[in-house]
Amino acid sequence: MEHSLKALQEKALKEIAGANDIDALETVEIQYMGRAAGELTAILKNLKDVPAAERPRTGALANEIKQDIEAQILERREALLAREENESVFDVTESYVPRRESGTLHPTTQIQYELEDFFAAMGFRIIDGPELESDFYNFSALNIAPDHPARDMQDTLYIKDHPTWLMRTQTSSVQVRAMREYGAPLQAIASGRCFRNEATDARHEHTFHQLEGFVVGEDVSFAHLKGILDAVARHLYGEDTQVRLRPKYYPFVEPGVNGEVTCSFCAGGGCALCKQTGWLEIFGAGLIHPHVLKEGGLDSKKVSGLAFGFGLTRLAMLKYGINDIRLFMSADMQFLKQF
Amino acid sequence: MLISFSWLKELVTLPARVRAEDVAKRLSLSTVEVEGVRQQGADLENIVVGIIKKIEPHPNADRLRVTQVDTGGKNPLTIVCGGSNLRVGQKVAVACVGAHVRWHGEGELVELTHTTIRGVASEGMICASTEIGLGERFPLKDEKEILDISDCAARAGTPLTEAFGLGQSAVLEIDNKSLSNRPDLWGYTGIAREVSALFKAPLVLKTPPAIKTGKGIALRVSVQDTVACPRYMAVALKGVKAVPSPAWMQERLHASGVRSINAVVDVTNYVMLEIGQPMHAFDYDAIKDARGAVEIVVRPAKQREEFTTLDGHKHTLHDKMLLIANKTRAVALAGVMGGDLSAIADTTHTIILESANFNARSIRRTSNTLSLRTESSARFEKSLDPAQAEQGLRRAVELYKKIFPSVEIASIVADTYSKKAKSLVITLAEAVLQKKFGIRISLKEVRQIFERLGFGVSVRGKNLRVEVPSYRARDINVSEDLVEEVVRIHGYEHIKAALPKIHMLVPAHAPLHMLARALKMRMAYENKFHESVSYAFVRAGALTALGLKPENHLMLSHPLSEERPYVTTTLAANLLEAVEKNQHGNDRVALFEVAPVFLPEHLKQGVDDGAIGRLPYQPLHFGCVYSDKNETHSFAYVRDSLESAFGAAGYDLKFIKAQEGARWWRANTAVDIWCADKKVGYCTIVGRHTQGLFGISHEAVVAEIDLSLVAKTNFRVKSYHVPSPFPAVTRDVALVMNESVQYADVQETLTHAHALVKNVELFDSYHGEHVDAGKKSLAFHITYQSNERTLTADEADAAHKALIAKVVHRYKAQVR
Ligand SMILES: [Zn+2]
Repeated sequence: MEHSLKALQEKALKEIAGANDIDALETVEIQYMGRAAGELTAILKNLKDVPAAERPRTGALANEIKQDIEAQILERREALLAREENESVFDVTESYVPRRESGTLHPTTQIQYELEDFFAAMGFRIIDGPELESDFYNFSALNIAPDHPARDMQDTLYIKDHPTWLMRTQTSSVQVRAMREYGAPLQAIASGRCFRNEATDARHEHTFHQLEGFVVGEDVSFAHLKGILDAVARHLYGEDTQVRLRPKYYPFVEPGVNGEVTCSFCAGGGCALCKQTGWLEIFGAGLIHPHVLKEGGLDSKKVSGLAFGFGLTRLAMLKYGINDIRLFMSADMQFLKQF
Repeated sequence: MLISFSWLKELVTLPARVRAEDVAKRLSLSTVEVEGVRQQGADLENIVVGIIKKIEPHPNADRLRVTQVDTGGKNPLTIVCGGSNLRVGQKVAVACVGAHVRWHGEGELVELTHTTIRGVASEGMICASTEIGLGERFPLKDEKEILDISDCAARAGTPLTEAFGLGQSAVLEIDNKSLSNRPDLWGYTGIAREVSALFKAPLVLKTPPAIKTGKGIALRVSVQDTVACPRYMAVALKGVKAVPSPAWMQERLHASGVRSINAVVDVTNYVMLEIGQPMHAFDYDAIKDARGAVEIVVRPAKQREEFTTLDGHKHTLHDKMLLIANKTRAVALAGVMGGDLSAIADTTHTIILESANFNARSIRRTSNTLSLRTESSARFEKSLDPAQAEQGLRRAVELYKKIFPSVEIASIVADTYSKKAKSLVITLAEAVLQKKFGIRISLKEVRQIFERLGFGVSVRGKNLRVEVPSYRARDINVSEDLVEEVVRIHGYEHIKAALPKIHMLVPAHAPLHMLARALKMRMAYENKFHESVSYAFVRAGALTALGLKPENHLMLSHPLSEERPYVTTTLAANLLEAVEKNQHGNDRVALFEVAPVFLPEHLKQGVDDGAIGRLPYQPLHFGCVYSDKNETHSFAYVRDSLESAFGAAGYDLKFIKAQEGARWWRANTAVDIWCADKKVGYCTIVGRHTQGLFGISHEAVVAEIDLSLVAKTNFRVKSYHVPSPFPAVTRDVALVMNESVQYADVQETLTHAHALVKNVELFDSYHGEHVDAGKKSLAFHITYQSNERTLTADEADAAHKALIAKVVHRYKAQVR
């Protein structure tokens, strides 16, 4: 019995090794392990005929051989499948048909949401204000005197027959509205379209996007303005980004500065983008002018404020290297699809 | 504005180590934008003074000469030259080998080498002014003329830069825009004051002496509009002549970008550059009356009055423009430009010198209306200090005396200034600096900063009492302004960054913002639309094509282009234009926009205008267009996209067939969109006529929804059902019915046809071949499932049979 078992094992293993495809292997498997007529199955079924004294030994051996054959079949199957797969041709570069295309968000929207998330995480409230504004909120409340050049027809889009209505020239117009509505302390941002009476060319556009942020409260200082601007700059352009502030006149802040960051394209070494200066101007900022706080119903003796504004359109142009500002408002899908 | 570093250094004593670049950097960081530093004379290297010793004819060319020129070396140089004005003993500019010249004043700079001209070796070049960049200073009278510098004292061999005092003369280029709020910086004096404070260097400002009144010419000035002209000063000077001004003055004007004309005019420009005060000199003979008296009237122009400025241009004026006139005629456009008839001429011997102050707004209006911008108007536009007029007049008289020693004051010094402005005194507390900036700076240092900037300062305990000088009255009004002075001079880089100490706010509930954002994400990333951002302004044609009346829209008072003067009330106009623009390159045009529209008739809903009124209501709208050449169910695609995008944002939309709609909607294709109990928008296929008006070639679907309204309805909380653990069974059915039967009704009937129906899904909608005319075929997958047990095939079949019976009966349908 033992002898014939060993012979069976030897024969089976030889045939398994000799099976050259899955079909041949299955034939071998049925021949030995088949439920009805498998040769090994038959032996196992007939174990009861073995003398009782030999039975444990023979039984153990038979089981051992069964497991061995099963294992060999499994191994051979894996090898055969692998060989089959290896021989097949598969083009991993081929595209799915029909082509799957996603829609897109406008590039300024993407930057706006990125910054909104950033400021919201810092505790800023997201607010908005009307695009068609009054000269009060857009100018007077922001300390822009009646004879200031910005109020000229040449610079501002006024509404016909409504001399006090205009298309807002900056998102700062939300400042006094928000102070009146929410009081202090408050930290908030607002973004959206702004308008200037300007002829359009590759570098100028009468409609553009800004993001405005401001903080009012006790002990709000210039150091805080620097702290916030440092944080934004590093968020946008990386940990090593430096911020440089230079005086710039805006009637609604005192002092007013423009903020530059080290050029992220040349790391400050100078390139065409930064006009060889190593710096990119990306925001205007300052401490809120006491006149503005007063218009917002706040006592400038107790409360101070900081404010800053980014050109979202400019940020997008810098980020993607877009050199024609008109593309933003073009609704051209060849442009929009890229973002 | 150009600032010559050497001139600047005469007004402020800088340590020798301070270079022009250092000044430029500090000014940029603390005062104004310096765009660059240009080294003047850098192009004049290897160009020296030469003296012509000998002139001989050229053996091979009639028009050329062979000259021997002493350039300070051992031997004279042999130079071939074609100049028309060569003479022996003449001093000329000689470009030696290695110099850079511009041949005949044109093209790029070229390096000079040894050359042979018609067989004669030439060791250099005798230059014309235009060939070495001095054409503006020494204009050519004749094409062949070389630069004659015989009146220059320099010896042969002296570098030209040195001979002209150009040596190491750097020029700072200042961005005029950054000066808009600092009228005091429109002259060297103002810049010098800043530099003095920034480098802690002493100022060297001399006050010109008062003018001694003279006799001979009766001079009277009257001002009709003292708002437009707060101050007018004038004086008559006898004994001037339109000769070239001295070299040092020409040099300074040149370095500052102002062309030298003659000594009489140059002095006025020089004073303007030095002090920032524009001046004007009138030819006495041209403005005196018959008795030799001068009566100046500062008056508004008459409507349509004509005036010719000294550049020869004739202007038609209006009554908001200010003129300087005598009894008979206008002689200058106040603060902008003089007239041609009273300009300084070769015959001029006596002048009336004007130093005035004009209202910034009036000057800006005049200059804008006439598109006439001058150095003078640029300064007056910024609001000049009236006190400066007097300094200007004194300084000009001082300079005329220096140039024309025999000059006489021939009149009184006329001055219309009555009320001297009281100077402002502001108290600045030491603590404020610390609190607002977080910097520690001693009161002594603060005091020095103010003193160097020309403020009067006294210390009162922990406070400073600061008196604002008249030339800063324009930009310094409150203590915050003073704080800025200290900090910017001290340097913004010295303020340490810090984040505010934590202060938490309860976030405002902003459903509209959240809706807009969720909607945009879903429309783009799930429904494959592209977000468009467009103008708030539209064409009249686009509005009328949409059945809207342009006259019901707000209009820009000065439209950017005649094309889009209307402020829009719908997003559909620009979106449909976008379809036309995109349809050529894209089979599938799918765009959406989220933006406000501007409704003039809904004032009550608008926000306040800060005064007593309200602004037009500006609800936030969502609009989309879809036009796909490969899609047969565009409308359903858009409607389903809206349903899923708004649904995901938490708002359930209902689409109800519009009973009556706009004329531009394709008949029978429009739905009203409802959210809760509010009608919030529409979705429609564009009517064929309107499609043509927009030039759109393929069927387009448009939807527009008022998000401000949607956000006011209740946000839906999503509901869910416990999933059944038992398997579902699916059966299909295709039903043929009249086309007039609405899918939504059938869907509703099927869903409620049997208790075991779990889901109903349309998988085919068809009419055409094999379906009778006027009929359509709808095919559904119906899913049956129980929450209690596994359904048997028989149970499912029985339910399916009951369902079919119900729907067939209800809609007179046939099973296909
Ligand atoms: Zn760069």
